[in-house]
Amino acid sequence: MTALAPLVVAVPLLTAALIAALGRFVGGRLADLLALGATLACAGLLVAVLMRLHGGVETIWLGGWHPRAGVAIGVAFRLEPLGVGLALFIAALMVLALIYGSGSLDPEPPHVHVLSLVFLAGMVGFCLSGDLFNLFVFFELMSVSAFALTGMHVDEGAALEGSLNFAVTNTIGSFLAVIGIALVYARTGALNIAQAGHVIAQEPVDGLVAVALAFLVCGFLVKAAIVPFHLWLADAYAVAPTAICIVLAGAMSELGILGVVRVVFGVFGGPVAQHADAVRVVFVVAGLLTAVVGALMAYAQDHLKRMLAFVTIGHVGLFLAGVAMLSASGVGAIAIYVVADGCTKAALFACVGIVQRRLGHIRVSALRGRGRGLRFTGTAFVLAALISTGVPFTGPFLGKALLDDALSHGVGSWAVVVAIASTALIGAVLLRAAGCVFLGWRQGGPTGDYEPLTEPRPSTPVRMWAPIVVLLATAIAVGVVPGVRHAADNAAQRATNVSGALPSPPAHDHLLSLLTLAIAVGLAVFMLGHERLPKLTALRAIHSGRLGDYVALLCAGAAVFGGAFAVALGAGG
Amino acid sequence: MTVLAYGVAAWLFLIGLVGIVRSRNLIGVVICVSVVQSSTYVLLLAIGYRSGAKAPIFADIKPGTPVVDPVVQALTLTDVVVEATVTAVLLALAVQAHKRFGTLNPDEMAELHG
Amino acid sequence: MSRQTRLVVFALGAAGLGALMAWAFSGLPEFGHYAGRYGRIVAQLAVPARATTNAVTFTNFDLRAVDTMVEEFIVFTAAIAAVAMLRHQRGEPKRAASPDDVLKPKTSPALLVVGAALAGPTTVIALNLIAHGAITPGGGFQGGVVLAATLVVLVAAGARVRLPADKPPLLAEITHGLGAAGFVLLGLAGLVFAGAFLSTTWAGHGTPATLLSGGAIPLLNVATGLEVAGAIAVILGEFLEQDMLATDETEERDA
Repeated sequence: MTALAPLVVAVPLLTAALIAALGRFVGGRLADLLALGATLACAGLLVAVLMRLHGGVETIWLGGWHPRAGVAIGVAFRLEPLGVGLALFIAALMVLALIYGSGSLDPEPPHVHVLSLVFLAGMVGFCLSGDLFNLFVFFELMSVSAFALTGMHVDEGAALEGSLNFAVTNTIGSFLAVIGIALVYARTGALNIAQAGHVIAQEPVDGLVAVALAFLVCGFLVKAAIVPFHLWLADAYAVAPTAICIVLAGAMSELGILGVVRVVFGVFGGPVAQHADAVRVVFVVAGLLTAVVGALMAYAQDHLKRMLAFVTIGHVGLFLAGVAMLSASGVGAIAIYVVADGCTKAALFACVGIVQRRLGHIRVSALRGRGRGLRFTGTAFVLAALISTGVPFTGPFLGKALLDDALSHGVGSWAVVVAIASTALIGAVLLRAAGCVFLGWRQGGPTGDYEPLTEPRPSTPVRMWAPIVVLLATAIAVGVVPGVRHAADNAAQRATNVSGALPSPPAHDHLLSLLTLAIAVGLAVFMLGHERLPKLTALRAIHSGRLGDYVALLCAGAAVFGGAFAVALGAGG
Repeated sequence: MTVLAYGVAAWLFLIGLVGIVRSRNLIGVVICVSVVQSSTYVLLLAIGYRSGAKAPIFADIKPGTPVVDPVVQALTLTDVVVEATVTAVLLALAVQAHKRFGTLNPDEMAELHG
Repeated sequence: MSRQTRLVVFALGAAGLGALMAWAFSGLPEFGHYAGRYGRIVAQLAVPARATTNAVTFTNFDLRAVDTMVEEFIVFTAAIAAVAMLRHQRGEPKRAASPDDVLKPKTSPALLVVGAALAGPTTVIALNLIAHGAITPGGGFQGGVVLAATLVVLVAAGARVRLPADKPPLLAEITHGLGAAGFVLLGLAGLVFAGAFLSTTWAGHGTPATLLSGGAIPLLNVATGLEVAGAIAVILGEFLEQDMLATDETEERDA
């Protein structure tokens, strides 16, 4: 294991460096193969690690530096099923994304391949790390490669705006995280997460602890795109190449949530456990608010990728609400939901990519009715939309049902109502888009006529539709394959050091999910039939695309979170 | 002295943010990001300082002499490199933005919004 | 949001952040009295364990070497990003790529002489910094940046720089890729020969305060130096090419 785990990160990095060094002499096809090979190798290594873990936890010390005199001096990778499982999911998504994008991503010179491999290494390392500063460095690696990948289509002004807003806001988030790490180090003298957590659990909670928690969490929430740190995401997703969006939407936002889990349970486990109810309120409010804002903004969008970006934000809000339960059952539910939902969103982006390739447009109003010939894509899109609302016998159903359960026990029924409403609205928005594009039904949403962005192509290659089949199949399989729930349960317990079992969803959850589906379909039909729908100008004005506004809201949000945690942890004085 | 050391860190952080929010020039924004970066360096180094101790280089002092904390210095070095490279990427974006939009004012670059 | 609203929102947020930081910092140990054990143990270990007199390099290239590896790849990524983003945009007026493409700045001969005279010593200082990373302040990153600075000195002094129209300098591109790969390979060597990834014991101990001390640390420093120098040269090359484009446009306008 000491050998296997570092290889997971070393293989993609080495391959990236070699492709870059020899790039001039390596043709596009070879770069495709090398990148795919390295990603598959990474995934294979992760499978090996997962199997050797046997559901337990193992800490390995890099460089052979074991702790001395009770102080951890080296960097540790803490391998537990949740982290390794998520890393494996990310590697698998990257494989599909590379297949999807091969041949369409400019292979001369192979920049995208190099950046994708580095991106993969950053994300995977982040999942495995057990050291606070190491976590931060992998986080930065992931971020910088993501900025670069987003700005790829640098000819378009929108790509610049998206990449710039992404880069500056996320960098400020990292500064907050560094201050948090500095504070933790000052108090505990440790950078190892487990050791820091041990020390903090024994000391009384004061301003330093509360603010360190707040700043670290805010740093990760910027990446996760929780309100009010979410503004950059729609700008960025709208312009990144579709193959990259598959990984961004399916994996990167969730890593922000994983970071929050690591920090909240690992470093601040002691104080959080003592004030669990108050801390829960902070996260649930933030999460549900994000879900609502995401759903509403998705409703107001005409640009397909921007719409999907807000769908991502909406779902991430629900993930945070689940994690907020601060219980193994909440985290376990979210683990299942993340995988299933990640597959669904990836499939949606892949479908949009096909639409853009075949029809040359990206806005719903310009696409009205043109998608009638794209039967496979249309079916896949509708199926993905339905799955995302959580119909029974699919992965999202299991995750959502467990989440609703955890919410109603932990917070109250009102939370379940909000969660259902947001999911239904998101499903309705997706169905409305599908109805307009693929069936030509009139929609009462935003209208306009635009120039085709690209030359429409006559056919969809296998590499583009095959991944969609795999993704949708996985999304469904996660919900029906026996043993998934048990595995998630075990993974959550190992990750949070909290015990508790995942209950099986009671019967009424099936009714709730059918209700959600009914609302979604009903809303979609209503929206397609009516012209005069609310415009949400005020909410949309906040999403101005201007950097200064985003940073101002980031600061205000961080201050609010800081105050909220201070009150929640009862840090007196 | 304590107040000064940590206060400078806090001040740099905030004044850099003021610059980012108020700036009408993208290059100014990038410089202000650097200012905010430097607040993190100051904080890290201030935390690890020990009065009367030497630098953690044992080439000319005996091992065992009190030295300042080498770990925060290592962290700061890493931090500096990471954030300097982000500056490079931001400047590349600024150059492209100027070519594309003809302006360096971030407020005039919002093509996607709403 | 109007500018007014933005400033108000920000002012409130900044006030809140300031208050929070003041509160948090009041819990920090008094300046100069840090008592953490991690640093003490590291300082005690540096010489006996790896014969490195520079405890900071020991931390960065041995104890926490994986952080440095990732950080090095961040530099690598920035170089790739700069090239990817600053390449020719579609539809931009294509510069005539003649073999005599040179940067023609207007500087005085005195500046040229000074620049040429400085280039040599700068390179030597850079190599010195890289080589002595384990002994005195310095190391791969610092030395690599100074090495790239040689290029800056030359250009600033007005040297004629011939840059190919479309591609970044080949040598720099290969160097930074190989430097990055080198670091990972050295880490793997640690795995193969010493049983742990990025362990440095396999290259022998050496005596403290000599060039050959610290096991594999000097080798890691060299890899890092190459990588950083190459990456910064690539980034600078891209920016210089942009300047060249601008200079051409200015000349076209003036003509």
